[in-house]
Amino acid sequence: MSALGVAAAAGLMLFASAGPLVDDLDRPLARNQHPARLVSLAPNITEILFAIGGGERVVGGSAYCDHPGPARKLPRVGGFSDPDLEKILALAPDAVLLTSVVQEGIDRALSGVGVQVYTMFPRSVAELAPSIRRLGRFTGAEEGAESLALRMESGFARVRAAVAEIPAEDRVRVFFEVDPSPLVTVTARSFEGSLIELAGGRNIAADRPRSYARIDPEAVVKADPQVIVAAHARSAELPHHMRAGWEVVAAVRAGRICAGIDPDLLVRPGPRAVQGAEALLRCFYPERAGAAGAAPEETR
Amino acid sequence: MRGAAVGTGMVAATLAITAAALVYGSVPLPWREVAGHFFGGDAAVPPTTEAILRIRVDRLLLALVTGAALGVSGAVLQALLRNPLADPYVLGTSSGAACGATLALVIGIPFTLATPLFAFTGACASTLLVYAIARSSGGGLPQERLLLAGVIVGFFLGAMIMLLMTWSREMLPGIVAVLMGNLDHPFVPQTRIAFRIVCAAVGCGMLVAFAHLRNLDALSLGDDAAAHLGVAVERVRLVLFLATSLMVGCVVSFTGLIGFIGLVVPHAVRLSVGPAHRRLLPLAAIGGAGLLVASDLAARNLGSVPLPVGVVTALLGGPFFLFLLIRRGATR
Repeated sequence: MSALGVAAAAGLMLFASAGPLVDDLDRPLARNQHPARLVSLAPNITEILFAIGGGERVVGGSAYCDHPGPARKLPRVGGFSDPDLEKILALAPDAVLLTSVVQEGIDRALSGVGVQVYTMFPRSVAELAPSIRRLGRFTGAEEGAESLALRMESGFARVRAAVAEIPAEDRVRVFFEVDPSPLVTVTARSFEGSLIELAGGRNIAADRPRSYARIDPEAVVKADPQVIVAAHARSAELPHHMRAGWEVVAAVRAGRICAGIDPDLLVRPGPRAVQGAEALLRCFYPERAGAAGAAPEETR
Repeated sequence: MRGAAVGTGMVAATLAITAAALVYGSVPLPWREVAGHFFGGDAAVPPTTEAILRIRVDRLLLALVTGAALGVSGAVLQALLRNPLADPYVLGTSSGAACGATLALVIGIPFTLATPLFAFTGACASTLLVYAIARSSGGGLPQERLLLAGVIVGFFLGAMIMLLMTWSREMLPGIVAVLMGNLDHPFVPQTRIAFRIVCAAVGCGMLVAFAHLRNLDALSLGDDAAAHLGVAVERVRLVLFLATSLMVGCVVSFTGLIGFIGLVVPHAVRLSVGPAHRRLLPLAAIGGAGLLVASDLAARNLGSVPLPVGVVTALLGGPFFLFLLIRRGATR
């Protein structure tokens, strides 16, 4: 019985890996040879490509593709939502890698001129490893992708385990500040939101609409977060303890403002997201961070 | 008589909406606690309520001062330029302020008051430029040249803002806040000092405007008529031009571009109480303050997320103004 189950599971897995090639939007892709020239229009995808061993095949990147070091030397094809189509075509890419709905128009324009488009769109921690494996299959870097996916899964699992026994009601209330004026935060629908949850935080803005949302400072004071993550560079200029009304907030009274985390570790669904999760864990539960941070991974 | 009734009504409405904004804000508070905070009394006021009210009062004062400054500036400029479409933004002051604020955001200066300072500098620079162009014909300050120079400088600076926006997309939310109006400012001590300076400047501008009530009445009749009535037309126009620019530059440096109040409120008041400035100016100040507070209250509660306040001023102010216009056409 169980042997049959195992056999069936193995068969399913075999079928899955040999099944039709699709991107993160479930769009079928032609199964011809692996693309040799890649243009990445998102910094997280560039980081992933370099981490799975596809770095030397990246021939162009966006203005924001600044990590790892060699990515900075890539020819730039424009910004995030407004890349230059002619510059992309001039690089003669076999495939252009996009992310999210912001780049839908670019998707249509590129498909229109016959360029292979691949959309990578991990919206949460849970979707990241499968998304990396899928990208690995598309680019023919299955081994690198599998190893990165496993490393990240175990990294996330360590963080999850560190907070596993904390009951829901004892988890710290977190306010994640994207911009201080006007005040903008992240919801449960954002990647950052899923990192907060993973690291054992309760996002006070989890239920708000969209992924990034404006929030009224009064609502933050009312929700009384125990920890504030300031994912921007304006904390020195607008320190929370100096803001009128914020002095009663638990996080401000206890001085629990985490302003030193590199925002790229938190906002980019890429290889460094594990470091982001570990940084959040240190911020939320400094006493529990030892276990998860014991084996810090150097992600290339 | 009618003026007194309308005036009393507007003061009452503004006081009522201010009280409502104090209680509701974006997080409704028990009115007993709000009353307890201001008037003392039996109700124990929890620290969270105190803190929320501190945020709320700062924001409310900013809205009141801004709305009043925009309303009065609009009324003065409409008389000064004898143009019903004149508003605090027509002479390029606000475009200069917005351009300065955008520049500060794009450069990314890590200093609390960088954006207001840049905005104010931009407002002064564009105002002086418009003034210099209008004066370049020699001698006086002809209103056609002033208006044309203002509009063209405004367009030019608008294009500069768009250029900065395309260059710096990641700063877009901040720039949009400048262009659509934003009353959400964390009040750190430096902000408070800057806000006091803004209040003082707006106060000076108001004093100047209120000292010229008769001259404004005369200027509304036309330059020649005003000159015959003994008004030193060019000098008065210059003084009032600088006074409104000071007010607008100061408030825009804080709140960004909040449209429609400066255009609509003076017209609405004029339709109700007539064109005499001794009634028009104070009621434009009260009406502007009330409309901005009402718009902000709506902006914070209409959607599931706070809306830009400038969008709401136009959405509320536009239909209200058209209603007044149609009603007046019907009763005439």
